[in-house]
Amino acid sequence: MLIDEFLAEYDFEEKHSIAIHADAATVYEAAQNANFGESWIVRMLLTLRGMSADALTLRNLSYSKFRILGERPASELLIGLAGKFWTPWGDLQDVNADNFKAFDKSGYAKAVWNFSLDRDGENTRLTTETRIQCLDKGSRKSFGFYWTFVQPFSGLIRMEMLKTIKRRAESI
Amino acid sequence: MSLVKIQIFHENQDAGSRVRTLVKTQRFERDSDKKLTAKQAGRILVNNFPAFDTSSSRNGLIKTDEGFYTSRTFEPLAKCEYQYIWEIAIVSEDV
Repeated sequence: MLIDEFLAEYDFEEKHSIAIHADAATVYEAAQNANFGESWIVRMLLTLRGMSADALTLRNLSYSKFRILGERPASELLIGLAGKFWTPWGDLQDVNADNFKAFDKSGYAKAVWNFSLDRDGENTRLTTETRIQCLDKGSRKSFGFYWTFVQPFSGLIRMEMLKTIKRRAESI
Repeated sequence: MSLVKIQIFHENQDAGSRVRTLVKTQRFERDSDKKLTAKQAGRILVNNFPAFDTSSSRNGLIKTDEGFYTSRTFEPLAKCEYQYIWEIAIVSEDV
């Protein structure tokens, strides 16, 4: 999987999944074009984090410092970012598919976030996994403290995203 | 009668810099002068560009400042099998 290729070793992880009654191609297409700003929970939480939730699709995310590192259509889409996530504005760095693996700036952390699809009987199982690698001891400590408070909301956003994709994929 | 404009772009994030290239612009007449909706935009797009015939397009495009938006994975970049060019459609009222 692309997520293993880009970040096999990590300090923190979060994973959620949902079964969707549609084929993988439909789910993949819905994941790309779902507007996550439709969910008031996502809208509210992102606004609190200082992010815009207007026309919020996975591709539009990459207009900010979130980058799509790679995709395998109908199988996996991987987003990456690096920064000091525990600070108010995140100090997000310019990473991309070419420099992400080599990025190792002390004091920072890097994260990968994927959406992957597997067959699950007559359904498609859509899974989203987030991995965070802290690049030194200090960033590990800062991120760990931040994660204690943020993880429940991060999980809520991801679950809402999965539900938005499911609604879109199933409403043919 | 009013006109609707469909613009097709190709976009990639090669080395992190996002490059969007306009590949096609077409205008179509529509029967109504009422404000274009997300569902109508999707229907017009699907009828004229079948490659965008997806559940997302049929259910209505996403409203953005540029117009109604959708995208699809187009073809891989020559340098890498997991990085793709995206095809983006913007449907807007042609004023």
